[in-house]
Amino acid sequence: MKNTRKMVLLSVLVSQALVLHVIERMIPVPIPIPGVKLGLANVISLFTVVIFGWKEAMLVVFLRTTLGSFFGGGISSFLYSFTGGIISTIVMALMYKYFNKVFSIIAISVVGAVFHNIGQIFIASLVVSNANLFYWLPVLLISAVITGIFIGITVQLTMKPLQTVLRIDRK
Amino acid sequence: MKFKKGDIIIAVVLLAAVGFWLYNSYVANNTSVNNLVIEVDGELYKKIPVDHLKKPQLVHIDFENNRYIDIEGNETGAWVKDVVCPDKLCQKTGVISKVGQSIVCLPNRVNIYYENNENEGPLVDNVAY
Repeated sequence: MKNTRKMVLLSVLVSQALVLHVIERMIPVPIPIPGVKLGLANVISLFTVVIFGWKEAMLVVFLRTTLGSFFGGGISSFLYSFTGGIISTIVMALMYKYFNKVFSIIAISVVGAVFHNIGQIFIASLVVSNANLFYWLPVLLISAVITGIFIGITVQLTMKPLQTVLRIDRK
Repeated sequence: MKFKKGDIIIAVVLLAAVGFWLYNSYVANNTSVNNLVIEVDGELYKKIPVDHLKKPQLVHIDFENNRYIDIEGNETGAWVKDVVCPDKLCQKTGVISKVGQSIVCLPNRVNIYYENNENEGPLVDNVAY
């Protein structure tokens, strides 16, 4: 794939992630624990991992969290989404590259969501200098599993159509 | 939906992890509650012994940018009454009453939790009397 084409495609993915991020903020989640959210933008992260690879996925995550914090949330929200996103992307990329035969996309997405939440709690506990935030980990794990399954199914179903729309040929 | 062998391992690990944490939080933890602790920016702001909470107490903390937080505590528990912050998650978290639970306001870097006095253990406990 030529460089310009790749650059344009990655930009499209970043903007898709940003739109998902903005829409997600409009959907109320009735669980008042810090860190419980739908994580819709992770659809794009996982998709980028599968189609391109970990370097491109990290770039997309960096760009979407940076720009996303401009669109709403502020600098502090950048810290949490960036850390969670990077950790989750690294784990998903490793799982996909080496264990693709063993784990389905849904499982990879769930593990990514779990690590996303772990990363966020970790940074939050650094911010308040107190580790008792990890008390909420079981609730977050449950929410991560549910959202991870949903994201994984979404990626699995949209993989082919999105490739067709973006005109990406599978290598 | 394609399912592969490794998925079962993931499911089992997650169930075990969740089960372990839930057990720890709800079953194995009936320690008595001694103090309500409020930390700001990682440092202790106020520590209220539970005996002082027989009548409701209100703690008001001011931050820069005209932000503040109102924390109320009484015999049943502690909660955030009012706060100026972008997400108001701390207010929506509700009431905490047990050791381990916490209310956090990340934008204002406030942490509210209960603690018990573990350092009193070896010297004086119920058995000594």
